[in-house]
Amino acid sequence: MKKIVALLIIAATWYFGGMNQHAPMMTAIICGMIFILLSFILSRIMRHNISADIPPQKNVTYKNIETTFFIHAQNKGYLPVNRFRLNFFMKYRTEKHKSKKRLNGSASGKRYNEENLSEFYFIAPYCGIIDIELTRIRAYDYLMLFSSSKRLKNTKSEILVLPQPKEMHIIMPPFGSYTNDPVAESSSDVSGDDHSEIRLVREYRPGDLTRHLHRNYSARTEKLWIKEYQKENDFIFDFLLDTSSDTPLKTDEMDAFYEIIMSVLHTILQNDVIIRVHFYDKNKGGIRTIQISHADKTKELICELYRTNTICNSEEFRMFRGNLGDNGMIINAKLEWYFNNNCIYSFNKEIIEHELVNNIFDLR
Amino acid sequence: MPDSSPALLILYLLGLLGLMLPFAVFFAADYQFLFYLLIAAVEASSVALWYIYIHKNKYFVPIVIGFCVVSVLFIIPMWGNLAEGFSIYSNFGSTAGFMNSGAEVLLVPLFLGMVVLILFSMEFVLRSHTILFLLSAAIVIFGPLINIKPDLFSIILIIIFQFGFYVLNMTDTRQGNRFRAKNRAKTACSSVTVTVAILLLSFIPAIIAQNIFEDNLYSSVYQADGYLQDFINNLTDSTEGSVINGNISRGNLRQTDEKMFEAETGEIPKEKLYLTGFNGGDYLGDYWDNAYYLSYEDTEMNYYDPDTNEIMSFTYPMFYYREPFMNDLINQINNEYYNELSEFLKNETGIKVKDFYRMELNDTITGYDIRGRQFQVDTLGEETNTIRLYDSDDVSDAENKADGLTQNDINYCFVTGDAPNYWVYYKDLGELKNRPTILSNMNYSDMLTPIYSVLGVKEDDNSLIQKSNTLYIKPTGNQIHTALMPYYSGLQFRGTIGDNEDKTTESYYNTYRYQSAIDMSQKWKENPFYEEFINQYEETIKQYYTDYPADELPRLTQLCSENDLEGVNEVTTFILYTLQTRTRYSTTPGTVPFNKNTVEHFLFDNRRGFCVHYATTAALMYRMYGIPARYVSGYTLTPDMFTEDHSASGPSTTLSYHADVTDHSAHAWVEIFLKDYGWVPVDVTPTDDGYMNASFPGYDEAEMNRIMQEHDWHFRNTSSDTNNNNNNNYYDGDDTEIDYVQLLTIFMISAFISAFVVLLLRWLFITRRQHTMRCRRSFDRLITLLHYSGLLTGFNGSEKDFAQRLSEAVHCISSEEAVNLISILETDNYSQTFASDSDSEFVRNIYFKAVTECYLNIPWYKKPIFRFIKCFY
Repeated sequence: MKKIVALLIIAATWYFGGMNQHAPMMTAIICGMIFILLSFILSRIMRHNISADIPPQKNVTYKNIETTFFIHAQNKGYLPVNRFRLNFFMKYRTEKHKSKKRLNGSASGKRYNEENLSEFYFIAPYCGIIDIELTRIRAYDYLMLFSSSKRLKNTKSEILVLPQPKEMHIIMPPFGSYTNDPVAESSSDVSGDDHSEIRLVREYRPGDLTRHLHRNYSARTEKLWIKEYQKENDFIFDFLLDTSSDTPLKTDEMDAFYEIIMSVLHTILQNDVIIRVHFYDKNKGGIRTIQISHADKTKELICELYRTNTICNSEEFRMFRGNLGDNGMIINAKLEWYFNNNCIYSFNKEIIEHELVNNIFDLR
Repeated sequence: MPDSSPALLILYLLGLLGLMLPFAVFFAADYQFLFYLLIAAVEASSVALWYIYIHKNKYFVPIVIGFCVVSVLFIIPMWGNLAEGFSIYSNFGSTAGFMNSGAEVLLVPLFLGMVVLILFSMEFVLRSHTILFLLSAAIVIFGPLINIKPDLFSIILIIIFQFGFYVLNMTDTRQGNRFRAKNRAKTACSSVTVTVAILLLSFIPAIIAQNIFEDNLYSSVYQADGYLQDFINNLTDSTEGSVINGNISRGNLRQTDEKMFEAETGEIPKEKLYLTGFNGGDYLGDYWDNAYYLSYEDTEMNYYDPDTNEIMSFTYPMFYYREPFMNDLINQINNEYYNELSEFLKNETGIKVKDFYRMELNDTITGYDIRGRQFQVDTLGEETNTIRLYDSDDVSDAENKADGLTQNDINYCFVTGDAPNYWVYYKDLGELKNRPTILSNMNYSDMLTPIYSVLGVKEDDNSLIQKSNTLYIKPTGNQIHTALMPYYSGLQFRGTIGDNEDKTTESYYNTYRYQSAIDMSQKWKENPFYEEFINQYEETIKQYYTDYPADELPRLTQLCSENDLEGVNEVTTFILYTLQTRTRYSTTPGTVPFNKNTVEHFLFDNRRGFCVHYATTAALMYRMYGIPARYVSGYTLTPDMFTEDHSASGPSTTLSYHADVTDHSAHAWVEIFLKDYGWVPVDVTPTDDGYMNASFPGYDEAEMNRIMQEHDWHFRNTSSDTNNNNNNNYYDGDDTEIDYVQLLTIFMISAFISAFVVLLLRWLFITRRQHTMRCRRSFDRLITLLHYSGLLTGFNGSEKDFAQRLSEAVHCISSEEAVNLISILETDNYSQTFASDSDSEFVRNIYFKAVTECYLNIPWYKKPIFRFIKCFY
């Protein structure tokens, strides 16, 4: 539309300038023509100068929150590029469909020696890995009448979209009833010399056990310091992720699956247990096990699950799992939660967040 | 780009200046200085508004509202006067109406102030550039239509403004909902700068190219306009109207090469033939009213055939020439001569004269209801033009007697009669004594009058068409309704074209006999009857053809009143001199502004035009000197247009020279009334090389040169026109000519002022910001200051002994202060806490102390750069 308006203005100026024999208007028209010609050349020069890449950045985010993604525009010319358009694809790795995105930006000239970072805001609707690939950059002249584009190479990146852990109401069974491999003893009276188990050192407060005094440090500083120990997990909890499915799982189904895993792990780990998560790794051709003792580790687990091809058919999975997890916890791709072979709950992916927060899950 | 940026303000001020300058035309010459003061005031008030808006924002709205209220209170009571001023301007292009009294002088700044407020609010407060965009584009594009023509300087400013803000908006505005760039403002600023730089550089070749290809540029528009009109005509299935009319073109001349008619003659004419098609009477601004109607009508006439001794009848086409005053004039003449003529006729012929008659539309020639009289004057010269008259008493011997009558015997004749016979009386040497003669076998084409009342001829009478001075005109296309007639001619033959049997007007062709102007010279004074008529006619036409609207032509009226001239020859020479020295022939003179008079615009402003403008101007100038003159449009046939063609399709194969006449031959000229010749053409349009070759009986080139010499008038050098069409030095004050010296001067002054303003604003901005800068920035400035002053040039501030060296180099900084300075900077740079406000102030004070000492110590030539470029102080 702008081009049409610009052309109309130029044509009207030319026509009325000529019909009225107004020399300055005709001069302006010639000037405009020269400017347009230069603009055409400039668009080519700018295309040559401009390029874009993805700078190193934090590439982990959470589902349904606004996320910033930085794109770095490089202008190796002295002339500023007041407008470029960047084409790139965003897609979940599990999906085939690529979502085409466009980003407009500007880049100062080389003289300013500044980093031209453009920020792209988005909200990820599902959990998973989002692949981003810059495909093409288009440089415009100053009046945006002409443009010229070029392909971008080796400009790929990924963003891990994690589920946000929900606080679930889980009624835990008595210790021992949900594990087949309990830890031998409690470590509440662990000796104070094992530095590896010290979580932090703090000043003495009345009521602290004197045996937890950090003697050496207290002697040096002439203050009383208390060693605070890390609590030991009492039991190991087996958690089998049954990702077997006879039909390919969609992104929203996997999203619900990860939501459940994240929230369940996050909630159960608050009960001082160790969870051994078992899942199928197609690349390894068998079941992998990861032991988690802290809530923070669940992120790493989720990331590992993202990167691992865990999908297999039911027969394959049954063959590999053996008796694993029969007495522990199982969550399958149908969003069914089993504990000791009893179905605790069957989730609906449409209302899963509501179910996770508002339901009470009794494991006894 | 933030609103506080001075660059945005400068861009706005440039746009405002470019918008206001073209409005200088509203102000009379005496108020031009006031106008420029007004512009300066508007610019200054815009800067003040900007300052208030940016730095004293809370006062902005009250000021705007207060000004608007005051302005409205002033403007409302005076709105009537202001509207009248606009009315005068729109009607006559005069700006005097705006400046009649002091009240209007107050109104203009108030009105402009309101406009400025609105524009400023749109631009800075609402950030909507659309209004100024459209306004500036409209002024550039449509301004010339109402005589607001921005000069090159204004256009440069406007384009800088347009392009600047366009680029600014393209860069500065967020594109999409989810995007922003951190350095957008800086990129926008630099993009605008580059754009403006490219634009200014583009103007240099543009000015040169425009100057070289000016005519080509205009003709390209003209051609495009022609194609556009053709396209519209084809689309709407309409055709071009006849070019022969009284319209005074307000635009370019468009020639389509369309064939208008064919002309055939037995011999190539010896001089240019002027074929009249339209004669202008009243001047009505944009067009000439029709002076008279020239039309054909088939009229039945009886005559006595001496061969058969019977009264015969035939139908002939009659030209009807009707001027609005002719009925009264003829009646007056009739009354004076009726008795004398009646008595004479009664005595001589025994026939009672019913009345003198003149043909009127729908009159019949027979019967007793004929009123008026038809004037018929014989032509002299060649024997073939002699009228053959026969004595009614001795018809059988008519031919013999006719041979005895020569041109000298017949100076005047008129026709009267009683049905069924028509009688021609002729008067010999002023005495009505000759016998009445039966009109018989008469060549009516030879009977002319000074007012071109012409008798026709029998349709089948083609006996004379092979004569050399016969012109056959076969209308084609759009000229089919236009009666075209050579000067001093009579209709000789009229027939139908092709197989059109219904004999409608459209299917007729005409054959004329024409004479040269010299052949038409008559001693009318020897004919008292006719002289009486011609005197009466001349008196009458002075009332009609010397009228002009003086209020619409103030400058032309003044020009004529300032040059007191006597006689038609002097006036003609002055007209030629005026047109030749003031104007240049061009078929693409451009469009006349709506509120401008075409003639005044042609002669005083644009100074370019074509035949229509030359003829109109000349006709009006003649009238201003009291010489009856009419505007005429028609065709000119030059001898070189005729080619030998024996296959001519005319009424006779004896006509062997043929010409296809296109609209290129359409022309306009002026005709003046000469007593002994009637209406004679005067062509005042210069030739392609700029020469004037007007002539008429009693006036030729020698006479023109004599009068020119007498008055010390000189034509401009036309050879310079031929060699260089762009050399328009003879246009005194021609505004279309680019004065490069003036342009360069304006550009230099503008560049200087712009640079000064930019530097001033930059200085203000930087020095103001220095009072709030943080310690690191202060230290950077301090290092730059020291280096510029030639101190500590090898140091960058990170050296261990920098504090000591600093206190040694700048005496007003003690060593303790220097150490403390370094300590503050280390804390700010390397610790987790930033320097406090008091620490920043301490560093700033150190910087200002150093500035003062360095300024005093640097050489004088470094001080301007120190202050205004580096902006340390």
